[in-house]
Amino acid sequence: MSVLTSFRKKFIEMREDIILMLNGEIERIPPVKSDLTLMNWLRNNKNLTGTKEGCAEGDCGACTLVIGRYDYSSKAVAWRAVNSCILFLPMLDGCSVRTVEGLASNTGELHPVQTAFVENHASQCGFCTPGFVMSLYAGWCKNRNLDNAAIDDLFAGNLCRCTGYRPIKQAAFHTNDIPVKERDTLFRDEEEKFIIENVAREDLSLQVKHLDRQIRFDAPRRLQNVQEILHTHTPLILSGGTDIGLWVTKKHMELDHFLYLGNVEALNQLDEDDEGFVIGAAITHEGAMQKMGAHFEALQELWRRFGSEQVRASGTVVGNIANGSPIADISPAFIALGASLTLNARGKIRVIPIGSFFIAYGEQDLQEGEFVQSVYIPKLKDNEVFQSFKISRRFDQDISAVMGAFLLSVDNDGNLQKAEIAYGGMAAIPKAASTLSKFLMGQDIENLPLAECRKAIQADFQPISDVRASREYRYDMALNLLVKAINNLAGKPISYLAGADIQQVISTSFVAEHKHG
Amino acid sequence: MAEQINTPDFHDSAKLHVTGRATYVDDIAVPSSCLHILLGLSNIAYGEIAKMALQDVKNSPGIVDVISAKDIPGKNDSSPIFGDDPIFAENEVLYNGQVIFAVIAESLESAKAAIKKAKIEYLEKPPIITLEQAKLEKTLLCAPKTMSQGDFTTSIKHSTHIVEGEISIGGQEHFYLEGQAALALPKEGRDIQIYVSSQHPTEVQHKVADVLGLPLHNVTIEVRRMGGAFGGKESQANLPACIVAIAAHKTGRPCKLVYDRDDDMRITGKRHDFITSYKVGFDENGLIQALQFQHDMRCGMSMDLSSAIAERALMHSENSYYIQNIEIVANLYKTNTPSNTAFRGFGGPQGMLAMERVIDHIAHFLKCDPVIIRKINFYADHQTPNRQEQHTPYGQVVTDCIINELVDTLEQTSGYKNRRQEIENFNKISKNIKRGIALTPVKFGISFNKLMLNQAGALVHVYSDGSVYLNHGGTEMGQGLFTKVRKIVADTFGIESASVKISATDTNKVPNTSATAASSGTDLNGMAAYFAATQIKDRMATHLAELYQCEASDVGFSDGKIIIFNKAQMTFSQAAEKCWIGRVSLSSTGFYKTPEIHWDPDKRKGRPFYYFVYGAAVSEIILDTLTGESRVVCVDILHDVGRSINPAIDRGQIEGGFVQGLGWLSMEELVYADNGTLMTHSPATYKIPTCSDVPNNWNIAFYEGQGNLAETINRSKAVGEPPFMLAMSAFFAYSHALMSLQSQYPNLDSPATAERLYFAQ
Repeated sequence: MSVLTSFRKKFIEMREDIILMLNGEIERIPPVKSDLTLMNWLRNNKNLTGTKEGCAEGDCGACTLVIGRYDYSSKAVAWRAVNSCILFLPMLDGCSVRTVEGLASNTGELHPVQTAFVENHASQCGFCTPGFVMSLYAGWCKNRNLDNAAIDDLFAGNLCRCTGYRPIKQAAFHTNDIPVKERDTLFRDEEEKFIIENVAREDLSLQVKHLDRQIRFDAPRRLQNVQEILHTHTPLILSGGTDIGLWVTKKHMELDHFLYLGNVEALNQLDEDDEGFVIGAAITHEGAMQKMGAHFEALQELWRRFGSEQVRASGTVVGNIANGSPIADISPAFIALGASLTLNARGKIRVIPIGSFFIAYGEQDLQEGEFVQSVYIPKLKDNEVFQSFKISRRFDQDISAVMGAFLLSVDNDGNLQKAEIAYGGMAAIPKAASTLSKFLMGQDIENLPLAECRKAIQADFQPISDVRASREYRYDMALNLLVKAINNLAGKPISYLAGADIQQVISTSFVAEHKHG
Repeated sequence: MAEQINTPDFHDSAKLHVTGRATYVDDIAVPSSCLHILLGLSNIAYGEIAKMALQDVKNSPGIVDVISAKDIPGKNDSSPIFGDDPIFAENEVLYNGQVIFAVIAESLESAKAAIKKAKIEYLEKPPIITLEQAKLEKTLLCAPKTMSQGDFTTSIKHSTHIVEGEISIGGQEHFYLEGQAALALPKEGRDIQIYVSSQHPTEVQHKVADVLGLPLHNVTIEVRRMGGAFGGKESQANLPACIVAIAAHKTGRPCKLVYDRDDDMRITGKRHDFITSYKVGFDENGLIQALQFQHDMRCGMSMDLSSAIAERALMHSENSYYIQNIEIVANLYKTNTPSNTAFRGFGGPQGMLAMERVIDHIAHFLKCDPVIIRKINFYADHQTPNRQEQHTPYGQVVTDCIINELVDTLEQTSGYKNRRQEIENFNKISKNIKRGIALTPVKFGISFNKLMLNQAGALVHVYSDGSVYLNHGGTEMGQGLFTKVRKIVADTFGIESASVKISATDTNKVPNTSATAASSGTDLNGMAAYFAATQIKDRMATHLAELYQCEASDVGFSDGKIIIFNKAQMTFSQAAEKCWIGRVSLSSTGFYKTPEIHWDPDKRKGRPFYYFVYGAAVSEIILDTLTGESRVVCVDILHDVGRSINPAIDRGQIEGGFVQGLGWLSMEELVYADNGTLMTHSPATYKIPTCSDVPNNWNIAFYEGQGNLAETINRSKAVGEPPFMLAMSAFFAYSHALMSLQSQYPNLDSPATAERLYFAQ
């Protein structure tokens, strides 16, 4: 089939109106400006003002709502809380959207999640409340029993400035008591039916004239179409939108052509074999975390703190790598793990080590028409231990000041035989600590020469002082995280105050026994 | 009042909140003719506007008009008091983020595309950004404010020991979830109606009237609710309201302005950051013999409310301690940064943190538990036998102190002593992980410093069907004011809260109101509403007594019924109908002014506070010395709310205040670049506490006393601000943990971020 024929064929199969389900009703939306956010569409076009704008960057959660989307990986509908302020409306084609207005029954009877909020005095000013309600609803949809840690994680992407969170957590605990039968009524069968039916629809391709601009949005389903569009055009590749969304809402950039990968079946795969994992370009952090967390415990925790539920549900692993951010948490971890990228230029495949992908700030090793198709992560060998640590101002939902990733192994004499180390936040790109790695080879982990390690780090990195940390702090952290990693390896762990680890420390103290009347 | 109010009614808007049906300014359905406003902000911190070319902006598609200073019919000022906050910068810009012009467009999209075409040229001048620069350049906004008692100069010379030090106290962004927002609807004649997210509708009314050159009766301001405020919408809401008013006036169309998060953070003022130096003399027991504070405050580009904030800082610099020889000075520095403003505690937190720092420092010097030093210096409790009269540095006699009893109780219930010992043992053996614990008190004065502001009005209607309509001058920002005042009115009539409709604050219904601020909302408006309801109730009783030939005192109101002793019984609605038929006025206003308070602003002496609120907290933290990361693991709070009108709401204020205070002292950090650009202008870089930052082990109790000794409504106590300062306990728990690492005093500055805790070792 010639290029021309295939394009013609594609053209015939194209569709210009977005079809989605909103609170149980099918919406056919005529072509819109493709960077219109879901939140703005709901508020301005549908008068559903329960979805609030708190920050327009996916950090506060006031715009949280729940979407049902077909998950090619599990071949079922997945329900997730997302930030609607940084999702473009065409990305929701074929999805079902539930807003806070769609929770109570038609007769106005509150949903049990809503009742729990009312009865626990969990709203004060009420502005963040719809977002919290929707996060809790999403957590509940997953039918998981919410303990303290699960609740903290569930709400990590929702900010409240009034309540101090205690009554909100209490409301979440109370939803555990709602019988399963009631949970089942939450989903309308027609929502899932709609989503599954729409998987087979024509590709969406929108073209709209706005002011003096022509704006285009392509959402192909086949890999070949992705390659062809990239061959003939220079669109911006869009996956989860957790970064590109901000280019529009924060930088007010005028982006004229999006190529959305979310509907491409071939890119929505995460394959595992004995050797490793292949993560397709459209796989979200949430999807990767679920499948790989068991093998890489440290990655599981890194993913948990990487972003909120909402960000993990939208943002993609490959997107996090491909945008080349110096503070991306996934890239240093993957560098240390020896991952490689599969790049595709119109079907021509190139495989490179992930470390060589990052050339300079804002510059990656991508040729014209080429895109990152997948990332491969080899599994740990028997004696290898992988650790990663993230230092940030706030524990949850924050960007790292310094992030360290360590793939280590020791020989029988206690000397390091492998030390693959990379850091985020230490340079203009995520970068391997090659001098440090070389120096550490053969070193006795019981007697690490810290001064030499510091020198090696100084040879590898020249970090800057910025709003997140000073240069001096970054240097010290790079070294101290290494100390933590080595101590853990030597079986003398220094507790790390994040997540579940803190419980270990506290349980040895009086606090655990501290009782009150 | 006969009835004891103590029911945790749900928040009056709770159902609306959880269903997304609660309406905030940006949610109000507007006519299709409504225009949208985007602001043009200064990109430099200080300089002259040499050239401003906005024609290309105006000629862009979808743009209706572009307005700047020359378009203001009246005064170019949105300041609360001093006339120094231009709405649009004219000739000179004073901070990065200052508003210069406004684009009025058919859609926000059009405005965003057009605003990029603005060309502004500046003659830049070197800005003053930091407090250090301001001190060097002596950019004082006004004469230093002083307060003193006794004789510091002589006493310090005779002091047994002397300690000196300095603490840097960071500012704080309000981070209300709903950004500043205003909507103007031009009405017939010269009337204008404005919906705004403001704590102070009357002030907005004044500013809009001045801006448009109208008498106040042409301007109506309505506020149903705010999505959080915390002081940030006391004076700062004037600006968006003035801008929509000018735009609506000029275009004749409805105009809306909602700051997005980044603009909001760049434009609006924040909590003042302080550098406070201290010199304290004390005896071998830690009794303070002489104390001197110098507070240097970064005020930003104008006065705003800084003068009153400085005074409240002075008035809380002794916290709960009776200090006979004290000298305090506050220097108000002008800088090329946003004009700092009211924020929960209003200068009190900074003053009190400095005082607690002094105690902590003395305890370190004397190598003892800081609680011992605290106790020895406390004001005496009011029940102490043969108590001597104790004056605050501003001359008020403390007559309601309960801090000794309260702290003793908390010390017991929290197991403080044993835990402190256990922690010190732990720290001796643990190399990298250290723990810390601290108990700190709070004493906070209630009433506005400015006498005039301590007044309130309310309006109550009883309709012929017995449903009740309530309006008062206070605003609802989430604190539960409406829920409390509704309960007060419902109890007065003996009916259910649900029978009382609360309505949006409206300058047409209750005029000349004060800001809902200084924790005074319920004290003032609750009492005014009580008086209004009582007048109607008395009229109803009198009329029914006539009808049934009995005394008015025989007519009882309870459980939704009217019982006329030995004669009749009817529902409240039947009684209302009878009174209507009997031509009884069923509408009344109510007015209240706080009694007994007085203040000499020149001498800074008097009785500025009707009463004090007391509380204390114990916090325990855990610190990783390798990284500086920390966690607050356990908090115990004992707080005095008087006789609570709604325990659930009061508890919510304690919890929310504590966590907000914890954010201020631990992770929230404002960073300005050398050129005055606010680097932390969104939640990506400015981090407020999230769910997992809250202690899992958190015990809160109300102090069980006699209720407020002052005659407040229901003998309740104000609760909005005081709990904020309970978070000081966490800050000094960090200090305690750091003490285990070194012999010299840690001199911890705020906020105690991971980096700061790491380098404080």
